[in-house]
Amino acid sequence: MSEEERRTLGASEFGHGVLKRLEADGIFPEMMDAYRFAIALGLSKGRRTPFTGRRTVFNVGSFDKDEAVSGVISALMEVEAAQVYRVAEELAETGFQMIAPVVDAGEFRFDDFLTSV
Amino acid sequence: MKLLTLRVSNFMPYRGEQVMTFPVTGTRNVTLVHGDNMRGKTSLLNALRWVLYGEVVGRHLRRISSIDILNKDAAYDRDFVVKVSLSFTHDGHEYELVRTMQPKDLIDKPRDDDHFDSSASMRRDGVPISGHLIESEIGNILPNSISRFSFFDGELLQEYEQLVADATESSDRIKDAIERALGVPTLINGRLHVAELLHRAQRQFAKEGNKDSQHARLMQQTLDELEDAKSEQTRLTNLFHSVSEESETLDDELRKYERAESVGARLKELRENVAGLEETRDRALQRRRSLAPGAWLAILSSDIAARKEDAESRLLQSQNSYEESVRSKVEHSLRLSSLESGSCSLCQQDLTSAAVAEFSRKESQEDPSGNISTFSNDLATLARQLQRLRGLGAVSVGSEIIQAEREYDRTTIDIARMRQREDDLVKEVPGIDMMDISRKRQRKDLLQREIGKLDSQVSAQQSKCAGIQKKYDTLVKAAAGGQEASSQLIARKVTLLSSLAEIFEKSVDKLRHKLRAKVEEAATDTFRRLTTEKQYSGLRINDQYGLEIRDHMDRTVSVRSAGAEQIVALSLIDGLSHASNSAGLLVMDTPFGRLDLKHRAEVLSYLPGMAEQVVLLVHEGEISKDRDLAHVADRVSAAYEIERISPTQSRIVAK
Repeated sequence: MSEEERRTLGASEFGHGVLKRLEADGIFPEMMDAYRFAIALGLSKGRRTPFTGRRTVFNVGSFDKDEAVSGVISALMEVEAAQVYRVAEELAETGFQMIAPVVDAGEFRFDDFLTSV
Repeated sequence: MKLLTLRVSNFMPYRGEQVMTFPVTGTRNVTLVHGDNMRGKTSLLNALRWVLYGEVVGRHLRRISSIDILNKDAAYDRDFVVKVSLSFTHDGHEYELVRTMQPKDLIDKPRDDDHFDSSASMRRDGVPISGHLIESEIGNILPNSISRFSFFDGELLQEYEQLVADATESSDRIKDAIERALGVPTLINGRLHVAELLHRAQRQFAKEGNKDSQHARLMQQTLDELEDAKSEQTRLTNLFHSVSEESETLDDELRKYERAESVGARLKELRENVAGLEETRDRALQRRRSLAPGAWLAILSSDIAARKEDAESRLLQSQNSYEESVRSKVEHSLRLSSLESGSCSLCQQDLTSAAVAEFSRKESQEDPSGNISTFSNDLATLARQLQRLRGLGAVSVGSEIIQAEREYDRTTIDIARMRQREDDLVKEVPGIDMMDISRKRQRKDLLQREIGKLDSQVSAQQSKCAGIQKKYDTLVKAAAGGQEASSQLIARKVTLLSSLAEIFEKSVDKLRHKLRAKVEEAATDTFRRLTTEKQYSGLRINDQYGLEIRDHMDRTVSVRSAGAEQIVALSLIDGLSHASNSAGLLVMDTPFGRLDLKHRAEVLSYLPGMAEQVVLLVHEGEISKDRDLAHVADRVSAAYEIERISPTQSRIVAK
């Protein structure tokens, strides 16, 4: 049974904290940029992290206007169109878990992520 | 003065007690001390200065502070006592002089000059000399003002070079010291003494003379005028000395602050650099932030590239399969229509039975229908996917982000390093009030102008006094004939003293002239022996005791090499020794630095004869043990080596 396509994107409380911190620390201009980065980290590892306590953070319409994110997810993973944003949330959660330790330590560096993937 | 033993303890690079003796036996009167640069040769010269005069000078004759006299390692070990002992003979007496510096009571760890007490003790032939007499005793043996002719170093050489230039404050100072060494002040003091006696006699004469006469009144009036003029001259001279003294005190203070000012300038520069780096760092951070939205694609760039390559390969494969299907389909149609009509659909010829059999066989094996639409769908899907991937793959800001981030890291480290340097510099000059320094500098400039003004006023007043004095002398001479018997004696006394004052005045000039001639002659002899340039005819002395080199046509040699300067300086020292008959002790620090090999050989052979005792502080580059020592070997009575223990510690080893 196919699920209804998501109109919003969400994150766990933990993920939402990471997003706020990344924006507050001036690392990303907006939380959306940080969310895309987290998805990319999850994609690069090919790992989805299911979570509970989902909290809506963006509308899909504003987050993925040009459908670049959904396009990349579809291209790199065998995912049904209706499932793309649900998968995106779980990929982002993986990214949040990778980012959180360095953000907490105040040592976030793109170099470390870009050279390790 | 002849040195016997020097003991130094915790003095500059010398940790613990180091001992040197200076034997003089027969013709052996040279003590040789070898040491590389930064080992402590000049410190030995300074140890002699310190024990005798309680002062130590560094480069440009600047005073070295007490805290810098104390050996660094000793200070680290909390041993804060500096001691230098010197035994020597002079005029048939044996002296023992000890100077000690130690922290004041209740000072646990001294940090500046005020935290130290310094004291000296002296014995002559074993009998202690009272503390307040020590300075004058040393002044009788070797006054500080003329010690420069016994303790010779590179700084002194620079001062001598100034003597041939126009008169300056510095050259006046050296001229004064030279004249002291030559004994000129003795005659000058005599002149002053006679002037004072004359003044008293004139007063007496004026009082005792014919007070009622108009002449006497005029004399009294003139004398009063003279006294007023002299009083004004004294006032101006005292003011001049007081302003000069304040200026010198300020000069000393400002010299101490030179380091602080230099540190201040470096701090300013450092802070400007930090500000510049902070801008660079902030720009790098801003750039990283502006590139951050594209970072997600940079993370996936290699995955996207791989997927794109795979999709392109699959697309190509699907295109080939699709073309193959279309071709099969066309052939199938042709074969079917040929079988139905019995003739070939392409060439219209009748089919042979073999052709019919072949066509029928192929038709039974192939059924291309249905494949084309599948391939067509695949092709469309792959083409869409590829188009999307191509659009994404073009955007990658990874290297730019990394570059901005590394720029940020680099500048952050540079800023931290500079901040550390800034902290270190601030610690070097704690509590220095730069505004106060600026005020003192302004005050110093004001005083300098005042000194110039007062100097002119004093000269003008001197001329005025001389004029009145002359007028008064004429009156005295005129009155002398008409004095009563009781006044005649005083009048004769005045006349005699006036004549004596004139004699002294002329004698001072004559003595100076004769001494200059004597110094010039002796220095020329020495110069001719030492110089390797035989075209030089000799030296000519000027009013400042500067020596000009004359060539074979008696013309002044205006351009002098560094080596020539050194030869001239040595000649002057020798000339002064001859003229003052005081060639007792000569301690020379790095005296051969500027000389070539030939000059070095000449000077080395000559030096032992320049004084009764010669101490040479030299480095290997000046006197090589293998190459140069032969010139002086038979005159060496003792030799020492200054050995390095650490950057802050040296020791003296007898060879």
